[in-house]
Amino acid sequence: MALSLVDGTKDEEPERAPRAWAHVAEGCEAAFADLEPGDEDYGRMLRMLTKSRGLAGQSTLGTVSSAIDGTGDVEDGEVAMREACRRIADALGDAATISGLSASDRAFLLRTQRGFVELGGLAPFTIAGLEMS
Amino acid sequence: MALSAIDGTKDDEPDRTRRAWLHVAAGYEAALTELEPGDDDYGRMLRGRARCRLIAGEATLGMVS
Repeated sequence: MALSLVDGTKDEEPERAPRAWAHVAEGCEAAFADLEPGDEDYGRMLRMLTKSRGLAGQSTLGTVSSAIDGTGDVEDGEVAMREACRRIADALGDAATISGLSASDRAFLLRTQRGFVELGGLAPFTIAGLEMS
Repeated sequence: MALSAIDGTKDDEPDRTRRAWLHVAAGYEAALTELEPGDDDYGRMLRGRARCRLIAGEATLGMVS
């Protein structure tokens, strides 16, 4: 166990826990290679992915911008999130099929042809013809 | 979706579901490499791994031994 020999603290633990949850999120994401919308555990897996990403401290906005342009750039603040939603709506258009949806108190997670897209805190809005509230 | 063109069944779904849960179990396994016994989420990860393996039909006795 990584205890400090001086004061007994585990001062690196906060960084290790998010990394651990990121591994779980990766496992959940990999699971979708074997599932299809409508499968018994599909929704459950989406919820696990949403939860583990949250525990990993992964930015929902970063996920959104990554889905748009692959940069993974993270912008802070609700205004930036609104802009990201507008951009993703434009980018997805008719080219993307939203094949999965999971909603929690604060976030929506979409599975599209471009991969997973997580949106939070801005309902209601409309993306690619799917209205969420 | 892997629907049979003949009868509309999804007869491979159990295998796909099992593989899916094994992916998640592997995620928990990797997560445990980041943690130490006594960390806040260590027990939660152990339970998660056991649950996923159980759903996937893996024997838990192997884990115990």
